Amino acid sequence: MHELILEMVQMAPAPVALSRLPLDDGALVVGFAVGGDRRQRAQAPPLWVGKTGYGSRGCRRLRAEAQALGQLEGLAGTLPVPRLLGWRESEVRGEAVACLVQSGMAGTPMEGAGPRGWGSRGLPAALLAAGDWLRRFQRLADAQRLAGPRRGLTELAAEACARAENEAEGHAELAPLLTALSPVVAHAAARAEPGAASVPMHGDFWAENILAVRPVRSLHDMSVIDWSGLGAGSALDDLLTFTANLSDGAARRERLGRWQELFFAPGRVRDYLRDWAAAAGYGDRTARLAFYLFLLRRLVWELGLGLQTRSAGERAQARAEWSEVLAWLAQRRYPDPFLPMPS
Amino acid sequence: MRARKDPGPGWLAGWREKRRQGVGTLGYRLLRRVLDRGPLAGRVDVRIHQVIAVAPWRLRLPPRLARGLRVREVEAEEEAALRGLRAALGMEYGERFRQAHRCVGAWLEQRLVAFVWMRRGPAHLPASFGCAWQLTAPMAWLYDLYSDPEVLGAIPHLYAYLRQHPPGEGLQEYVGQTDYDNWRSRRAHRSLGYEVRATLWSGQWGQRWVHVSRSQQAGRWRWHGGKALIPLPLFAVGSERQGWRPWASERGPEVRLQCACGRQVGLGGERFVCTCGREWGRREAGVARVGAAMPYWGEIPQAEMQRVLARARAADWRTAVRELVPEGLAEYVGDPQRAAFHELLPLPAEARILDVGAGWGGIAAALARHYEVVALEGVAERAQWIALRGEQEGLERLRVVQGDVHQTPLALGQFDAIIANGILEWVALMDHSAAPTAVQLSFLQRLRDLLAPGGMIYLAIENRFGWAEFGGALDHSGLRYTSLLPRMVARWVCARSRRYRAHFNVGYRTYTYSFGGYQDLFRQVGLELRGCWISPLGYNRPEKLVPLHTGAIRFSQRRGGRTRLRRVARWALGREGVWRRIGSDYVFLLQAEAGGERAAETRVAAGAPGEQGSEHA
Repeated sequence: MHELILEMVQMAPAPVALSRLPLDDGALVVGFAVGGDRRQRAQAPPLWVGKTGYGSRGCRRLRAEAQALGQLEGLAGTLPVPRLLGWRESEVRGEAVACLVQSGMAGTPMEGAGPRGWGSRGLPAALLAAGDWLRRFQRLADAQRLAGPRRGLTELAAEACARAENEAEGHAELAPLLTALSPVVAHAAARAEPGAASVPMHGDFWAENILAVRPVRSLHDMSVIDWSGLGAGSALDDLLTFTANLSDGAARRERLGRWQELFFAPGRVRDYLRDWAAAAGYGDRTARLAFYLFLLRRLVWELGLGLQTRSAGERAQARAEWSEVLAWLAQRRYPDPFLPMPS
Repeated sequence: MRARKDPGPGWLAGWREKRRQGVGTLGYRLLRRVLDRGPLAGRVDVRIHQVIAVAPWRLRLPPRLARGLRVREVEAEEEAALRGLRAALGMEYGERFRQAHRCVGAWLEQRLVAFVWMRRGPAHLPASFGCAWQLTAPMAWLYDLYSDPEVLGAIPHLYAYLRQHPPGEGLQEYVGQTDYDNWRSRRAHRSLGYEVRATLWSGQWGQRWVHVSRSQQAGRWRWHGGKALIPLPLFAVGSERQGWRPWASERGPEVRLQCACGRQVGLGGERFVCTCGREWGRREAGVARVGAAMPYWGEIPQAEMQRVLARARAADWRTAVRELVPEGLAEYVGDPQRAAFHELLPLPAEARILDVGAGWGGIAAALARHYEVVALEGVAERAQWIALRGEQEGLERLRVVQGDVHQTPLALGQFDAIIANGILEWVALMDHSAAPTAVQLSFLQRLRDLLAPGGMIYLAIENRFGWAEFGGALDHSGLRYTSLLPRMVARWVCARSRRYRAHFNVGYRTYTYSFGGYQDLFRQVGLELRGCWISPLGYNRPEKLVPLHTGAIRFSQRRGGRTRLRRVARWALGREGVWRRIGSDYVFLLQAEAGGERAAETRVAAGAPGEQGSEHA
């Protein structure tokens, strides 16, 4: 047991039941209160969630998350985000070991409460709540400059392109994918309306990282976890990530061929995203930049080049999927999102 | 007419509580007024204090907390100013208080908004509190608290700071104290998530004081004489922990054998010779050989095992596994996650662990990265393998002892934890002297005796009626469904089967039990169940361990379930009662019951040899 977890167990006012679940390069140790009747035990959220990370990669991810939670502390009273309860980094026989303990949050991942009637019977409450949550987060976090001083989107785009090219040099097998998108982003950056600034973004805002107390009625029924990707991005970035990953699999696949069509095919979701872009002050060209910047970031993330660990199998799967997505986009000459697709 | 909605017992209880508190507060305030201003002032006094404690994760930050709050130690000059405040009220601190306390403050925009005096060591609280008690652990107490939102916002930060910057010996608990009449303070504490753990009444008549206390833990009123010292554990948060006791430091620096003459022999040197002249064994190739080796037993034939050993000596144990060991077994041998369960064992780094039946040493080697480990293995080839593996991995804290847990006269009470991973079901296969259950009980008894006071046993084993067993998984006999059969039928089936697992067919002796059966077994040998987990991937892959707790089970299942039907089924089956009955693999955490421990301690203290030691003699 990591010494920090041991401290948490010893400091608990009542017995704690510990659960261990595997994580990439580490483990999740979760503490639950033992007392109460069966119903209380079934419904009570974890007392705290401990994450241990081994090796340089696991520790780097946890360090990023600890820093992010530290930055978010000022928001803890206004938005349901976990609070950092402890952080320690040490070394065991030459191997780096890190441990982070954060407060437990109520709810289950939003995917379990999947939005039914996707795209046909109006927007699901979950999506609206997520949108509201993001809007509020961006406003509060931007006021506190959580992701540092504001920067231009074009600057972010240049950084992302440079990074993709660097990664392409290091990973020859991924180079065709990484180098395919960079020119599109650079081109979109050159044509974007001036003045669009970055906002703080979660970085991995998808259904599994959003805990919802069902039924989701408002943003107060949701809490967001896994903040290791906190940084600066476009106002659309998190929402696009959420939309791309929110899967009510079968229904959506029947209606649309691939997930990326969601951003181009007419429907309420596309209208919602377009309204979002307009509310953020993005014109069509800036929205295009935001969209392709999102794609490039997502590509790097899913290929396992970011903080997230990916197994060889997952990488191969991501490679195959993204090859298809990029081919689909290239075939349509990288269309503008939120606008009717050219026939 | 519409029936009036029943507000429910919760509402009624809440109302009663509110009323009781209101009356109590009002009554006390009136009493204070009389005592402070009346003719009895100075001669008669009554004070009621609430001892308030909070776990760090329950602290709630008020939404109005401003940014830019800084917490640090209060410097000498600032501290003097704080003391001046007190002096201005005509209530100076005693000299003892000055020496024994440390002050930590919270600043907001250069203004001191809150501060906490914290105890440095055992002493009496200042007389200004109207009571005196003995402090046996470092503690912090809240000096003053207002309902100002800035102060409220600062308090959790103060406690967090104290936790991260303990004074010397380590601050572990936080106890706030407030006088009962300060209702704003009490309300403020509650708004932050604190709870009242105890109440202390102090009454003064002339020069004499009487204290009465009632704590959540004790649950009854306790009288304390005027000069009595009231122990902090009565109130402290930590006294209600899971029952783990402090680690025994008397177990000695090295692993020891118990000689028949009553003396103990260390396993440190090359030969293990008692001062009485008796030689118990010697170290050969990194293995402490004590007694005769067991007959070969293993997943691969003996000749193959020897080839693997030779290859490991020539090259590296990983190379040998990769080249010569069958694929499934190779994964099992080399899996670094074999000891992942240690993340749930509250063990300090200096703990000494005994791995009974260490096999290929997967668990022992993984544990030896964090703790001192003794791998006990009866089969000579396997013991050699573990020693070789430890040497090649540079595991200085791994010791290998070749022997059987019963036959090896390990001194009692010297291990902080004992690992019995998939062992209990096999012990009766080698020992035919008694019925399987009796052999298993004897084995558990032996493990309990080897535990240091407060130590624990990690025991992993299958459920007799687990879902895997119903699904046709092979039982230890090598046959399907034998665990589900009545024992007598299972014995009959095994005795006549050609597919029996061992080359010597002794019938059905690899008993497993249901959850209740294990509980009975543990109870009979004086072991107390401290925790139970289900290992959904099997106990040999303890990456995922879920306690028998509905909340935890559902938490572990919250991801996945692609269809709605599956999700509903998971939700419906995700209950501790269901998992307890049909969970396939159990992981138990056991501690010796107080009586049982005492017996073991008595044996150790008397220097009497254990049962097996006598046999050796």
